[in-house]
Amino acid sequence: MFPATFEYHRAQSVKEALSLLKRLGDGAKLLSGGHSLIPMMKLRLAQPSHLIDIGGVRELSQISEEGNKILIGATVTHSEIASSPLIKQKLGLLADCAAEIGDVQVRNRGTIGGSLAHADPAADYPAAVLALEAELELESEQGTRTVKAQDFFVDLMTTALRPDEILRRVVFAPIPQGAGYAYLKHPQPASGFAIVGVAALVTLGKDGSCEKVRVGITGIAPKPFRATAVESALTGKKPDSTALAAAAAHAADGVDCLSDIHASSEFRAELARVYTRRALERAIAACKP
Amino acid sequence: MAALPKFIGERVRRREDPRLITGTGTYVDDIKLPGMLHAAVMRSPYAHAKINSVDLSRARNHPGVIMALSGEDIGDKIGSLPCVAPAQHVPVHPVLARGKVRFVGEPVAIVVAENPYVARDAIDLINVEFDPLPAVVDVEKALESGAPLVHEEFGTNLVTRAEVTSPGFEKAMAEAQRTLKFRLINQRLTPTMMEPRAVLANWERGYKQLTLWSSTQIPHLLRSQLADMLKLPENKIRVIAPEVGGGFGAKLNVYPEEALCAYLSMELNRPVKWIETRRENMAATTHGRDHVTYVEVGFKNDGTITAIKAKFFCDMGAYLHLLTPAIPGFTGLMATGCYKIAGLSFEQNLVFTNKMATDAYRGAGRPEATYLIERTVDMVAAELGMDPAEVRRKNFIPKDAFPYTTPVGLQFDSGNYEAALDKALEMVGYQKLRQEQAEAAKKGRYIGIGLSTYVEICGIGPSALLPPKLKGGGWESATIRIEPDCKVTVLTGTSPHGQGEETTFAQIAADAFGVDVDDVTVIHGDTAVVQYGIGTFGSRTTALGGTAVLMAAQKLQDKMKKIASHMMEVPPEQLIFTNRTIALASDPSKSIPLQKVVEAAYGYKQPIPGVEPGLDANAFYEPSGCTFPFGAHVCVVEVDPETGVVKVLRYVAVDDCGKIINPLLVDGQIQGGIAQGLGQALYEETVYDENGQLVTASLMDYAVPKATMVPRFELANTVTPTHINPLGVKGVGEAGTIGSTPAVVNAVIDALKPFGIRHLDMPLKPEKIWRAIQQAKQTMKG
Amino acid sequence: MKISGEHLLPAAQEQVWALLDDPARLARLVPGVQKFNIVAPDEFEGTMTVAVAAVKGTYTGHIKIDEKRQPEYYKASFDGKGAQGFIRGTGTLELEPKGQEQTLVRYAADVQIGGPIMQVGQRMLESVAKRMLNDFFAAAETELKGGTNQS
Repeated sequence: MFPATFEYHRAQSVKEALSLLKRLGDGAKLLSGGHSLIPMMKLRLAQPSHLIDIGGVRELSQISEEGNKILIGATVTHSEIASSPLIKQKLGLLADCAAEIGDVQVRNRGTIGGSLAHADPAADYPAAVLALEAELELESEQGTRTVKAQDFFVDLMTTALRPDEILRRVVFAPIPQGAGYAYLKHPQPASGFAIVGVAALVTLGKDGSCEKVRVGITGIAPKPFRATAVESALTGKKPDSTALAAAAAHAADGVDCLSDIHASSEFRAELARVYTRRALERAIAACKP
Repeated sequence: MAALPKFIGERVRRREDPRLITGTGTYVDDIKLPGMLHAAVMRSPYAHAKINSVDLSRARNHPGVIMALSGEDIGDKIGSLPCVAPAQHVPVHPVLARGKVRFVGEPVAIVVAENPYVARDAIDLINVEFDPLPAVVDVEKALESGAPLVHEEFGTNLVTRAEVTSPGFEKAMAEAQRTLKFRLINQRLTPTMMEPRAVLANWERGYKQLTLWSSTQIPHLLRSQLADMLKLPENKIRVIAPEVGGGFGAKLNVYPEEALCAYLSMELNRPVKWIETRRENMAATTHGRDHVTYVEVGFKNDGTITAIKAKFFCDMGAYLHLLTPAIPGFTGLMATGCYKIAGLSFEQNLVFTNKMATDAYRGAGRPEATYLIERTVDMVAAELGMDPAEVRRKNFIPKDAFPYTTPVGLQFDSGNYEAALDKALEMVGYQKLRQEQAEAAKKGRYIGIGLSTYVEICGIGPSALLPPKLKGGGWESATIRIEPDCKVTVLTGTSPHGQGEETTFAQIAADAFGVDVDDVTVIHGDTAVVQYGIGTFGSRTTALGGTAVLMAAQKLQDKMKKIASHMMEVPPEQLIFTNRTIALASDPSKSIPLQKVVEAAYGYKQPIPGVEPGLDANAFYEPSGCTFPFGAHVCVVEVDPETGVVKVLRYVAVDDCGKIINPLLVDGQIQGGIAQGLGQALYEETVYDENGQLVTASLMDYAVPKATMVPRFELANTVTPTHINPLGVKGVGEAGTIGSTPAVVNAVIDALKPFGIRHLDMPLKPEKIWRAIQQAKQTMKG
Repeated sequence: MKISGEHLLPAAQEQVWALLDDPARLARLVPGVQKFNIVAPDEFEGTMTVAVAAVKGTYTGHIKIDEKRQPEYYKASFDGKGAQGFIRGTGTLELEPKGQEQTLVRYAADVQIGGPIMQVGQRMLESVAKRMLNDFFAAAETELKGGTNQS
């Protein structure tokens, strides 16, 4: 499969990439791992006239810890996240989620920034990024702004990123000591993408009730979302099976579920409820008092 | 020097693998010729439409484009694509559509350019005015009056209707105490070989000779058909199948691009290459299966099945490819499986629809037959509340009944079906497993155990069974040369494309001449080098091609014995080949080195009476009958009732392919086969929407099972040799696919038994199972 | 693909009808329309670009009003094609007054989509269609409100 003609630019820095982005305008697309864009170009569904390769920009490829924040650069690959000792220790939910993406080849090339910016409704990362309440740093020549994960995903393959902006890095607060988490996914058998993916993060109080509950769901709707109805239904409750089932029953509330040959909207909603309950069960089982 | 071992029966590693694994094999796309041009094909986006006009002017004017042609430009310069199988209505099948397109992906125009990017760019510059027509997609609706006609000239979408009823069928059905009727869907599948199709054509003007490299399973048959289509003599066409990355039957065919590249190379006097993209492969390389079947089974209260009646609606697609209408024939004929069922009657309706043609796909008609009968047996067991293993035992053709003639006249060579089932049940621990299943059920877990005991048909076979229009028969060929340095060259008429006969044939030849397996080179797939042969399909290669190798070896042995006899002054009948010598059978220490015999044959310094110089021999093997491998598969699954997800817990397969040349390769064939059969049972399905649009047009939507989706297999064999060929081998290339699909489906349905579910159609996707469970719960409540 | 739904517009039925019956005005409200010509009474052709992130395609198409019952119903057939595929089908619009100042628009379409966009993008097409409809109705609301202000 052969893409249409394009011009290739290799940026050495974020600054250079931003200036190229501004100069080249609408026809330019950023390229890092290429695992979403290149297939679309080969199918000629996407025909950008310029590619700005940010894969070699070192400042985007770092994982670091600053104060009480963990910063992950946009071009950090899924396999780096899945295997980083720091991420496994402090953001285990994200590492688990990264390990579920695609296959080894995809994880070695694909990047967190690319996945989030592409905003495929069935991508894995958004579920974890939402549950972890991450913030995304978007940079343009005008400066840097920070957007909360739940405001970043706007619609199907559409994010808060403006055409002149680059997603620079994703900022996380570490998972609190003792909190339990799980990412559970029902994969589409052909693509491996999520028909439903649920990331759950739970902190239990001293009395054993749910102090904080965060649930991110991907795959069932045009955009990933935080299941706030589930969160609030469970918060303050003792997580027995009745409470969990009652809370999880809200997983697809008000969601206009996607439908395709692999799963109808009705089935997606049901899977969301089942996987939410199971993810919560696992997260709670993993909580350490 | 240590004595050389015998190689037949040993787990010799595949000699093909090092080059394939290190990327040093040569596939068509690896071949680059000076001045080579690249072709791209513009395909119909419509399932059914009139072509009002094809405007190629912009494409032709695009820089780098050398030529662009439509179907009207080709006209009659390239003949119709062949269908050699008999059918009542065989439409003209142009290489580029003329007047009308009939399926999504049908070639409409071809562009040749300096590089593949430009060729692809030019496709978007072609302007075709289509006038969309209503499409016919459903195989049963296609036969209703008023349905849109795929080929108006026939006045019907019926390709052929065939009826076969065994003598005594009515009586057998009348003897039944009960009957069951049900409908089965054997869904359409996309073969999805690793390497899509690929063609490179080079017309050498000075020699008036065409060389065509193609990723094909049938180089010689392809050459014969191309000679017809292009009106060239067969000795001016050389077809080469270099490394071929799988075919599964879909490369047992003749495709438009093969003829088009040849034609374009002849027109332009330059090499022309076309490499199929995956999306093209999914839309425009033949599909498999696609039957709707109405089954009626008659049986007695003790589980004895007396008769089977089946009515098939087989979706042929829009055109008939090489063997399209021949494939369903195997389904009807094999529908009684490995059981002694007195009566069989079937009606086959082969139907045109606005889809890609179906044709051979791993198993080619036998998986459909096995699915039909193995589901039927389980239906009978469920109806009678009997153990499915018992119903099978009750009906097996007994081992002393061979050779056995089926109600429709097939002759089964040999078999011991109960032994295979016994072994499989023992391996899986059947009785204990049934107890565990009952225990699990109490805890709300849904475990299912599925059996499948299959028999299939291989090594086809006597040439009379093959369509008369196929230029080759059912035989196979081999040539063996012993070179002056005592190394052995085997030329086989078969065309292995992943099966590993470079290894198994080397084992046969090595044992014949008492040499090392590494002393043997096996050559195939080049019509200018290898004598005419038929190719690799239908699990025929070892049974037929291997036998031809053995026969050629025996001819050469006779000659070498004569020479050695002359040199050793002992009668030739007393000589054997062992350890790189020809030795006295009664006392192998009395021997002469093979090398000396070879020198005598080539050097010929002292003429040997009655023996010509040189060492090569040629054999064509025509079998006296087909072979019928069999086996028993057991699949254990657990169904998640909340999500409908099926997890395969265990998979045991006992296969009997007769004598085994190489157990490692047999295991490999079985493993790959089971994975594919499991794919059909759980995941795979070629989906066209109601307008004939192909929805599963990429591997993002067509679910081929990946390594992580396939369980570990527990494999074993029983060995029941065949008398049909001197090697005693039957064939194993398709057995895994044939045996596995019903085992998996039977297991899932067994798991769903507590819900009262008797049948679900494939693929058993989570949503389908979930819905069936929801519905069953509703019914139970109500 | 069958799409149907309804949308409440903040204007009287006559006003909504006037908008929907004015193709040139309507075309301005459809996102991505680049060219629009009236070729005959109740027959139009044009070019529009549909973009979802990096996936962008330009389609040339043709619309014909097959049936019209002022001020409550019309039925149209449409077809369009581009390098990435084609779309064709029929659609109906029904207007029902909801008091003096609101009109309920019911829409239903039976759409055939083909070519690459269908073959690899099927899981997203319905969402894209819904989004375009939402964008259209949002634009129509603004237009109707603007119209009210002017009068």
